[in-house]
Amino acid sequence: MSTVFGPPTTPADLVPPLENGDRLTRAEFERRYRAMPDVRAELIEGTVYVMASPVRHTQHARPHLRLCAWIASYVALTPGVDAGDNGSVRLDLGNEPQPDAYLFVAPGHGGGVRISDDGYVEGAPELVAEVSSSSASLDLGDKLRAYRRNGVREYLVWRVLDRAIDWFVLRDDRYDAMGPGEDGLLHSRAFPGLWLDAPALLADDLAKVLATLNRGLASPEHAAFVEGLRGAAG
Amino acid sequence: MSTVARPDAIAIPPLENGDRLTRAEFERRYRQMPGVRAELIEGVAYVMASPVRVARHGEPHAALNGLLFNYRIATPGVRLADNATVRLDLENEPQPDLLLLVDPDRGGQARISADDYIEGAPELVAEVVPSSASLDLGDKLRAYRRNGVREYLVWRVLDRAIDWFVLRDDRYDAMGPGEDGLLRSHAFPGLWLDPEALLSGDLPKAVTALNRGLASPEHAAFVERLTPKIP
Repeated sequence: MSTVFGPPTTPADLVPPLENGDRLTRAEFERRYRAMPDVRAELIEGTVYVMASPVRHTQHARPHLRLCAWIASYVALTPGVDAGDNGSVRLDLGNEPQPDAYLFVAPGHGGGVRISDDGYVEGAPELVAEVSSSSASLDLGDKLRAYRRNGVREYLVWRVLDRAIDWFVLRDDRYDAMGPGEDGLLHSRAFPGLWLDAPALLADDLAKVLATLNRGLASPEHAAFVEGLRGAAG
Repeated sequence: MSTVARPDAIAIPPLENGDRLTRAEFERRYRQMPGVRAELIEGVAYVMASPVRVARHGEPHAALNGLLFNYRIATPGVRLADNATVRLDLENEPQPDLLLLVDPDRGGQARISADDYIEGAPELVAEVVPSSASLDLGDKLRAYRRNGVREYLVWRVLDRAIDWFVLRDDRYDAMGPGEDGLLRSHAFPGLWLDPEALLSGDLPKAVTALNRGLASPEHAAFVERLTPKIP
């Protein structure tokens, strides 16, 4: 008589590990995720995606940092907004992505996002940004659909291998790709003053990206937005 | 002014979970990543980079492998493969834990390509999975069924259960055990499995059941049918 196959009987080991393609509810996803502290995983349209790979510098870590620097600079001069890097977002009962960056109107200032008692983002941040390899990525498939359906107003995707940046804007329940203005810049609707020089970002000219943003932060529409956020808090 | 990033120095993009790809593009990316195991299921890439547990996967996999190997030895004209890539259709390229096929030269439904891959649907596929939440019981099951894999055996280790699906009227029906508790393959006569013995780890008992199947008249008739006739 040989061993019985299956799990050891210690309670901790009875939590099944997350595996790619598992179909789970968000509650079960979180239960299994908590038992696996070393991996990064997302639940997208009820399917689990485990990100166990090492992360490349050129393809991901570098663009990720540039994107976050741009967003953090906006947050620094815009009281009433908040942002995060790689936080779990409880989007709906079948979706819990971990976006590279997200920007939202802080609770108490009229935003749609809540922070749960246990410290997670719940609901749809007004803006989400992802760094992806190419248009084949999950980020432009089911994940895009989940962001759109849940009302993420703007979705920025940096397709690194394609050397392209998409900035989708929710309009009539659809995502339209935003085209550059006459000045060649992309201007956020949800966050007035959040201006992006996409060619400069693609060329890794961070100084130019931040100089452009500073012009947006000095614009009248940014001042009006900050004023409105203050009013919403009052 | 900082340096310009050169991500295009990487000519072929790496496979990433959730990528939506054609099979040709999947294979192109897969070929340049020799360290990983990946599957394309319904047009979506799944990369299996995790280490593999012994009691949860390695052992049940080996137990099934042993039984199927014994069946293969006793049944000239069938072929058994472990973890082989299957070009199922243009959006599906799984790598099942085990598969059993009738040799294409003996009337089997799958083909072996010039570059040595299985093309089409093997008669039987077996997967070892943790539980019913697995991909193997979701999109992968659908892909096997649609492509005509006649029997699909899934060992759900944490559920302590074995499903054996049989294609009937384009559906997968779960096979129930006979009065003696055994599961009997239709596609491979004589392939008898004792699920209780397997689930409880009683391998000698599982081998005994298989040996009874291999001594059955239907197995002899199947071997006869597979034997090439001399004209």
